[in-house]
Amino acid sequence: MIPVLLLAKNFLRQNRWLLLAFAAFPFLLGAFLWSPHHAASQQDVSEIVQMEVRYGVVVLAFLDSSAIYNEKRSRRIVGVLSKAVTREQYLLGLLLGSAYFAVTYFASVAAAALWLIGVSDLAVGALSSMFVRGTLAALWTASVALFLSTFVYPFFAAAIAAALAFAPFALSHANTFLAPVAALLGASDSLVRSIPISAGMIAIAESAIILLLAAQIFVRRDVTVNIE
Amino acid sequence: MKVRQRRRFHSALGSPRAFFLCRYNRIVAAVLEFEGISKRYRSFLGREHWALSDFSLKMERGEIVGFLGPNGAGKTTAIHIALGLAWPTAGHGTLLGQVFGAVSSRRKLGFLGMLQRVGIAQALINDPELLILDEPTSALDPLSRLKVRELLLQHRTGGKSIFLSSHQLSEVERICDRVIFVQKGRVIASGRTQDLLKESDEFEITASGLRSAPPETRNSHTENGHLVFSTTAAQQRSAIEQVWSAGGTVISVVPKTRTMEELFVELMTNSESGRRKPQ
Repeated sequence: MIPVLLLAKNFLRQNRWLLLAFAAFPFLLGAFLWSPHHAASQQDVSEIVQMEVRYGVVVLAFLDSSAIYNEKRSRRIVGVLSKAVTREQYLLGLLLGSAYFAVTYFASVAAAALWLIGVSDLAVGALSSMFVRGTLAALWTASVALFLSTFVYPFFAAAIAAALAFAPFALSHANTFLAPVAALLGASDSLVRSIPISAGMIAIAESAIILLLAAQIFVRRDVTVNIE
Repeated sequence: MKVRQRRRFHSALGSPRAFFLCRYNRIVAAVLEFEGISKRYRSFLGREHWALSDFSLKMERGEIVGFLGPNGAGKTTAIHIALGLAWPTAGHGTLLGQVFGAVSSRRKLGFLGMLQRVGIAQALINDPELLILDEPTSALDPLSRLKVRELLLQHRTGGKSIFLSSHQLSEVERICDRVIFVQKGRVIASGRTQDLLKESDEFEITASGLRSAPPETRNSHTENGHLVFSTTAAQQRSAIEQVWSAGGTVISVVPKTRTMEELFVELMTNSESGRRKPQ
């Protein structure tokens, strides 16, 4: 487990500036709505939060799709996988790093929203729900992007993963198994208190299965390119 | 594509031959063995490039092996295959008695690409059975290089093995017990360093008090006021006697050796011309 944690930490360290920017982003956006005299309207905050959650999911797709490619280009992957680290551990480390990223970002979104609408039981409940739903949706999309990036060029992997996550939003009714992101984030109001438990469980289970599939492909791939 | 990948995977991990090779190498001393490894890269447009073709080598426990070749010879590809970072297209091999790619063998391994002095200390910290170094001293100053050389020799004294891929030929000449030369993905020469560097039957005689070299000797020239010339082993005795009979003094008689650089150039040039001949 230690290699996985170290890989996750390293992923986070590599993306620390991006994480810092994204953690600050909800507060910067919130500053436009903030007034010292009255709290922002819940409707406005809900719309902003909805937008920020979707941004977060897309960013995770891009981050994970390019993770392996960037490691190959910098040759860091050679240093890591020449040690006693399996390919499965490597992918799990990247996904765990993404999960840390998502948790930090969505916590920041929730904190910024609380700052705008004020602390209340209703707000805390709704934002906790948003935090869980957003994190799970981002985790699912990240795992799809990581899976695709084991055999597709990173840009296409990110685009396909984002399309798989968000295309079902256009449908009137999407199957939860095929589109867990739509089931998690589909509510028109982002500040709802309920968490779709079944969609959440499906997202977790599918992320695990996708990661196992990615490992099966990745273990058969060369992680170096002939650059001599 | 699936069939090709399956075949490649099978040849690397699961074939009966690989299994027996692996068992054999756990019992016998080989720490690293490639047997008939080939590696093909395909470009996006389908152009093929063979980085290794029928590549075979065996490395024994407790020796320092130099791995030499020009850029693009396949050295790094071979190392990457041994480390399980790339799969061979054909052939199989073992690393510390395990098939290539096995995590358990990588636990007993130290690997470093281009490094700083602190890097080699890190690689040696868990006292690895086998140390694989890819261009270890290319970025180091002469003093650091000396330190690294001492570290490597110390490591060898402890019965460990070192596989050293380098362009620093003088470094290889100093520390390697055995040298393997590769070009275009094939081993073109290998052997003990001393044997490879020794020129066939040639001796260099240094003498003083002479005006000219004895007849039937070659390459005579003056160095520090002494006459230096070459002779064969068969003529060595008569050459020395001629020096004495001419009133001269024999200062030294040493077997003539080449430098690693001279050997490298000779092998690479011969290999190139050998390839061109049949055409």
